[in-house]
Amino acid sequence: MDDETAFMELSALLTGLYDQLLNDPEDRALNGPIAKEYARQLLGTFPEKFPVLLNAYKSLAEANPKPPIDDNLLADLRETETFKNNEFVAKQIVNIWYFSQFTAVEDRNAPLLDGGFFESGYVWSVIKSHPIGFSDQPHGYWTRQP
Amino acid sequence: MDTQGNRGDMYAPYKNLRSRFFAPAPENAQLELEEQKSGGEKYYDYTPDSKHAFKAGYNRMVGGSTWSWRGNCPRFIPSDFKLRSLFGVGRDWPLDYDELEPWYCEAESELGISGNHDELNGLFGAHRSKEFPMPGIPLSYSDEQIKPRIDGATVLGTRVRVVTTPQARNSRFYDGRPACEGESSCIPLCAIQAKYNATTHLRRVLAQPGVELRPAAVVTRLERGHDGSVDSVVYQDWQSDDPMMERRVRGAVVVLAAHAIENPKILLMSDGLANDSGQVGRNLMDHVQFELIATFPESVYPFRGPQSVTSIEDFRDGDFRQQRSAFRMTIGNDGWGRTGSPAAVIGNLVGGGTYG
Repeated sequence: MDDETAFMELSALLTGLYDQLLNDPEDRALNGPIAKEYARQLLGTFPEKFPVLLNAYKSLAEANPKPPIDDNLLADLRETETFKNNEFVAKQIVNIWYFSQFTAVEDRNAPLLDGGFFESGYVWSVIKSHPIGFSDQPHGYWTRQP
Repeated sequence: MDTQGNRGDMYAPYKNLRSRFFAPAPENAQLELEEQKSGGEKYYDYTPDSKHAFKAGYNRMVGGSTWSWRGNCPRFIPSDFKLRSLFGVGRDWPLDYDELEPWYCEAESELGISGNHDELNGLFGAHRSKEFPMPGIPLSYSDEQIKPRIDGATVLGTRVRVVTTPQARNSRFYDGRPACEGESSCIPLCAIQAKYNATTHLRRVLAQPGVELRPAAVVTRLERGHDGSVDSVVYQDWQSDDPMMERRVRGAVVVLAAHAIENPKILLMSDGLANDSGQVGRNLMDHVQFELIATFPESVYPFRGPQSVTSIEDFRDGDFRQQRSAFRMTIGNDGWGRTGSPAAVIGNLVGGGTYG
């Protein structure tokens, strides 16, 4: 399994964004370049931990037959020592997909690192809103239920 | 728009802020622009040992804190000017509401205030001699769920109603600025200037011949001429090659309009200027506030539209002011606001090990 595929699958597993990252072919295609950039940034920030986490996922996902990418696989992953030792990176994978931001250290005051795709953060669709500061809708749209 | 009328990248100053928390511009109400951070000694922490130390941020930049204000513009009511004579507390103003009212109308026209005249005309005696320049901002979906549940209710003997807050936010194209598009980032910044900020007037002034703006100029003192009137402003240009060098401009008229902190600071640094009373730098007033959050029985979809559109104004007057202050309630359209933003909620979930 290549790293790109592994990262998409791992991201879906951690974020719950299965349709957006895996199941819907159009969404998956659109998210491909974003995933590539996120993986690049995460690798740059966590040069040792990120590949270790990715390999931990691969070792489970490459079983024959391939296990479904679901909560059971997530539970199995979370049981591994590798996941426990690198869980901070897993949390940043969630952050980067929802907010396009993450941190390098586990400190609330740590500077935020910009993933570069703020408008594409999935938090906005979850809350049925729009990226704060970006609205392409006309005056008064907010009167209506999304 | 900047002072030259260019849209540009409105968020540029905010993108590298340390106080960001999962947003391109901070979700915290107060900002720290990197170049304006003071050192460890923040001079308006005037009671360092107090658990209620005064802490407020403001934007020291062209346009000042009008970049980041919410834009709410309720008027004072007549009683506010007579706290001492009516309630035996505080001080009376040297003028009353009636004298100020025409100037309120002028200010509302200059700022571009949207509001509903019939809702607010006569509020505790605060008559309005003119309509608002623009109709009120449309209520959010959230407001439309809340309003019918509150209007007409009696709380502690007070009948309450939800009204549209008068706000310096365009509900239509006005004064060369667009109507609000609901970007939900009023604080800290309206990227399209539907919310008024002072550069609106600055652009107008700079279009006049002979007017010069000198940004990054920190005034260190005012000086008086031979006749005792202020005729010189001494400043330091912190962007120059010699930022400590004192520079001076002279004027027939000097207007000091530098905010509640900088005005007294400059006066106190100016050899006791305008301080015969000894009150300069004292009695600073702030927004005393706290936030309540609640859960609605169904989804109300916040973060759509302005951060706040409505308010409750019914607790702003009464005999109780002899014992405690009046207050008004702003109804937020930003979910759990400062208490539990989407970022905080997801952060807590992730921090607690919830995935998938």
